[in-house]
Amino acid sequence: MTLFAAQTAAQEKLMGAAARVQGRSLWADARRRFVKNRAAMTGVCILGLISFMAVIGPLLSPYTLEDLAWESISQAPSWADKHWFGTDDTGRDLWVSVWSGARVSLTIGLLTTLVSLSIGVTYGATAGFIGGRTDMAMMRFVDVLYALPLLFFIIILVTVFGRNIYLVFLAIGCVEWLTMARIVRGQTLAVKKKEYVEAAHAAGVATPAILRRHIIPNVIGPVIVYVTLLVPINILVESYLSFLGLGVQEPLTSWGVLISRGANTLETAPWMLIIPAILLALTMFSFNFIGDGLRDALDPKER
Amino acid sequence: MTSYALRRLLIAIPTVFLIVGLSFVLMHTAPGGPFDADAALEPAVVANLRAAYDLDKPLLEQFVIYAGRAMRGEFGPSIVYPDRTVTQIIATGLPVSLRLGLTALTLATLIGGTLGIVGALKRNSAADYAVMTVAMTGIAVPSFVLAPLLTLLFGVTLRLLPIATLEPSGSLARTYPWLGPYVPYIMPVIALMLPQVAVIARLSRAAMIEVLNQAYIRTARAKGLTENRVVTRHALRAALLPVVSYLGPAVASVVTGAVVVEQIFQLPGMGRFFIQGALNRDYPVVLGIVIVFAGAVVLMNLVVDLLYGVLDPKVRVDQ
Amino acid sequence: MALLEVEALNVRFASGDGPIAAVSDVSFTLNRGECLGIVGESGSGKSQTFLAALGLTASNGRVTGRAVFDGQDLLTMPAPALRRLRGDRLAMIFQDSTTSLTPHMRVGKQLMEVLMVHRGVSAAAARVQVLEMLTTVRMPEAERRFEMYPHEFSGGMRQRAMIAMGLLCKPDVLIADEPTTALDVTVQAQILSVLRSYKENSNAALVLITHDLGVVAGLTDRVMVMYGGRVVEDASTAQIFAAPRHPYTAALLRCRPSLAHDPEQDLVAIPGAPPDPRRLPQGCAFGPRCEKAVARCGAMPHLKPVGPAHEAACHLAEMA
Repeated sequence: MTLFAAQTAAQEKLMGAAARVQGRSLWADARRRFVKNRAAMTGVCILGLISFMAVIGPLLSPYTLEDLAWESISQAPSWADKHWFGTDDTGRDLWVSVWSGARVSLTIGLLTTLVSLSIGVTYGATAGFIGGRTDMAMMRFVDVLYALPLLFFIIILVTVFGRNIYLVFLAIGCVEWLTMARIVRGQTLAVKKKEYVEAAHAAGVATPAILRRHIIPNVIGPVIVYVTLLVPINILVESYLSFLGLGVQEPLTSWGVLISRGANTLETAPWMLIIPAILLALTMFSFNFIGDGLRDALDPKER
Repeated sequence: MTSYALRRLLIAIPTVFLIVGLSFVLMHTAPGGPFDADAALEPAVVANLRAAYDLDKPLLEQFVIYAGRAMRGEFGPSIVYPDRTVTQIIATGLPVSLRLGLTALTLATLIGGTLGIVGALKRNSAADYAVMTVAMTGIAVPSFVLAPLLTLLFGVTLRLLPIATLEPSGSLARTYPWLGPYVPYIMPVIALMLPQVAVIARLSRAAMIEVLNQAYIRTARAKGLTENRVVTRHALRAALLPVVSYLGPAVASVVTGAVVVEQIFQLPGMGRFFIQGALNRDYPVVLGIVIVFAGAVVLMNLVVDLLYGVLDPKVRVDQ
Repeated sequence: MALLEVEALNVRFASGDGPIAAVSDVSFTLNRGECLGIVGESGSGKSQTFLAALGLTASNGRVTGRAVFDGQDLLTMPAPALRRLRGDRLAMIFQDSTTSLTPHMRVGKQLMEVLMVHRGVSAAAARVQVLEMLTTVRMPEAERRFEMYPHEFSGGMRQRAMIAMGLLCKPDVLIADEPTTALDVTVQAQILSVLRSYKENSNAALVLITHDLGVVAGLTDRVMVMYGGRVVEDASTAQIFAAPRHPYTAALLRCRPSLAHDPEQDLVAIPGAPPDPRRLPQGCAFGPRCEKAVARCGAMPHLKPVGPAHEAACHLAEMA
C-alpha cells in the first residue's frame, strides 16, 4: 500500500546519478569549504611560515650552532647584536637553535607519522577487509595495546638500545598507529558493506581493483584528517622524550631539548623557555585547526 | 551484569601478562648490562653478581622466576641501589604519584565535563568560545611546557607558590597556613590536569551537542519536560559515555604526564624513580614500576568498563 | 470555534548554502472530533509544520505566522506556558520509535514522567495509570515491559509505548507522525485501531502525518496534501480519492498499486525527484514534474476553493 514504492525506485536511480555528480565535485567542494574556514587557513599560514623559517631561518643569522661565545652568555633578545631571540646559557644564538630545532621537530613529526600511517593503514585495512574472527582478534589486540601507557615502552626501548634519533622516530611510529588502524578498519568495514562494493564483487571485479577503486577513495578522507592530527601528537612525543633527555642528542637540537634547557634557566633567561614554547604551541594550534578544518570540509555532517 | 564484569576481568588478566612479558623481553634483549658502568669489576665478581640476580639463567626461566615473585608483590632488590628493594622504592613513590594523579584526574573530569556541557548548552555564546579556547590551549600546550611556564609565573615572578620542593614555601602558604600540605601540589596538579581538561571538555561538548540532536530529546521536549529535566535526565547520561570511555586512556596519559611533572617539580613519585631506573638500566625498578603503572591503567579500564555497563543498558546485553 | 487554527505559517532554516524554506504559507483549521491526514513525501514540510506549532523547531529555524490553540497563539506564548501544553493538551508522537525513546531509561519511567510533570501525581499513582494505558494500547505483559529498556522491545511495542505516552494526559490534539512506518502490516493495523478507538472515545482532534494513502483512507475525515513546503490540496478524504484536483494528488493516486492491478503492467511512478528545499523552483514547486504544466505555472499558484470544502493550489484546477 505504500504510496511511493515505485517512485522510490526511480528516485533511487536519480539519486545514484546525483551521487556520481557529487562524487566528482566532492574534492572541489571540500576545498571550497576548507578555504572558507578562517581558523584552518590561519593554521596553514602559520605552519607555512614556521616551515619556511625552519628552512631559511638559520641562514639569515650571522651565527651558527657551533658559535659558543663566552662573552655573550644568556643575553636577552636584541636587534643590535643580531641575537634576535637572545642567546642561551652557553652563548649560542637562540634564533639559530630554534629554527634548527624546528627542522628536527617537524621532520620527526612527519617521518614518524609516515611510519604510523603505513602500519596503521596496512593493519586496519587487513582487519577490515578480511573481517570475521581475524578482524576480531586483530582489533582485540589493538584494544589491549590501547590501554597501555605505551610511551613507557618507548622509554624502555630508547634506554635499551641507546639514544639514537632513528630509533626514536621508529619507536614513536610503531607506537602511534593504533588509532589509525581503528579508523581505517572502521571505514573499510563500512564501505565493504555498501551495495556498490558487493555489486563489484558479484560482477567478478578482482579484490585489488575493488580495494583501489572503491575502498581506498572512501578511506582516504578520514585518514588525511587523522594524519594532520597525528603529526602534532608525534612532535609532542618527540619533545617529551627530548625533554627527559631520551630523545634527540647533541649536536642536533629540537624544540623539546630547547624547552627542557629553558626550564632549567627560568630565573636567568626566561626567553629560552618562552620562545620555543610559543613556537611549539603555535605548531600544535595550527595542525589542530587544519585537522578540524579538513574534517569539517570532508564531512559536512559534522559541525 | 555479573557475567559482563567477569568477562571484562578475564580480558584484564592477559593484558597484565602481556605488559610484564613485553617489558621483560625488551629489557633483557638490551645490549650491555647493569654492571657495565663498573668496568673495574673482576669477571668472577660480575659472574657472582649475575648469578645472585639470576641473570645467568635462560631468559624464559628468568621470566618465570620473575613473574612468580611479582605475583607475590616481590620485585627483588634494585640493582643500582642494592640496599633497597623495588617494593620499598615503589612504596615511597606510589603515595606521591597516586595523590598527584588521582587529584589531577578527578579535577580534570569534573572541570572538563562541566565546561564541555556548558559549552554545548550555550552553543556559540561567549561561554562556549571560552570553553573552546581552554580546550584548544590544553591540547596545544603539553604538561612539560605548561609546568615550567607555571613555575615562571607563580614561582619565579609572583613568588606565590613553592618551586621544586615539598616544603610549603611561597606567599600563599604564608598567608593561609592551613593550605600548607597542599601548596606544593597546586602547580603539578594544574600542569598535569590541563591537557586532560581540554580533551574531556572537547569530548563532552561534542557528545552533548550530538545527543541534543537526537530524536529522543525531541520526544522528551514534546512531553513537556522542563529543559533542565530534559538535559539532566535524558541527555546527560549519554553525553557522559564518551568521557567515561576516555577515562581509561586518560589514566595512561596522566601516568605518562606524571613522569615529567614529577621530574620538573622534583616530587619524589614513581615517575622519577622510573626515569632514573631507565637511565641506569635498573631492570627490577623499571619492570616493577611499569607493572604498577600498567596495573593501575588496566584496573582503571576495568572500572571504566563496569561504569559503562551501568550507564548504558545496551552494553550489558550486546557484549 | 476551531480547536487549532494555523495561519500563514512559515518555517525557514539557516544553512551554509542559504536559507531552507521548509514550510511556506501554510494555513488550516482543525476542529474537535476531526481526524486530519497530512500527506506528502519526506521533506514536504508536513512534520515541520507541527513541530513549529509545538515550539520544537530546531535552533537554526525561524518560525513566523500564527498557530492559535484554544484562543492562544502558540507561537507568541511564553515558553513555559507552551511547555505546559506540550504532552498535556497537545501531544505529538514520532516516527521511528527506535531513536525516539531515551535508550538508557526504562520505558515505564519515561511514561511516568509525563504524568508526574503535568499532573503532579506521585510515582506510585503514575505507575498505576501508565500500566492501565499500556494495557489500553494492548501492550503484551505490560507489568514486565514496564521495567524494560527500549532496545529490548520490538518495533511494534516501541510504537505502542510511544502512543501510550501521547495518550496519557488525554490530549485535545494528538499528532501522530508516521506512526506505522516500518511496521509489519498486522502491527500497523493494530496501531491504527488503537488510534481509531482514541478518536472515537474522546472529543479530541487527531492529526495523522503519513505518506501512506492506505492509512489516510481508513482513518481520516479530511486530507491535506503537501508538496515543497506548501499545501497543494485540502479536501475531504472522500473528495481526495474520488476527485483529486491537483495534478500531484492525482499522480500520487495513480502510483498506488491496487489488488485489481494487472501484474504484467508496470507500476506508475511520478517522473523526476522531489524538489530540493534550498532551491525551490519559481512558481509551482511541482511544475517541473507535472505533465500538465503550462506557462502560467511559472507563477506561484495559491490555495483557492475549487469546490465545496475543497481547495487546491493549481492554476489548471482554478480554470476548470
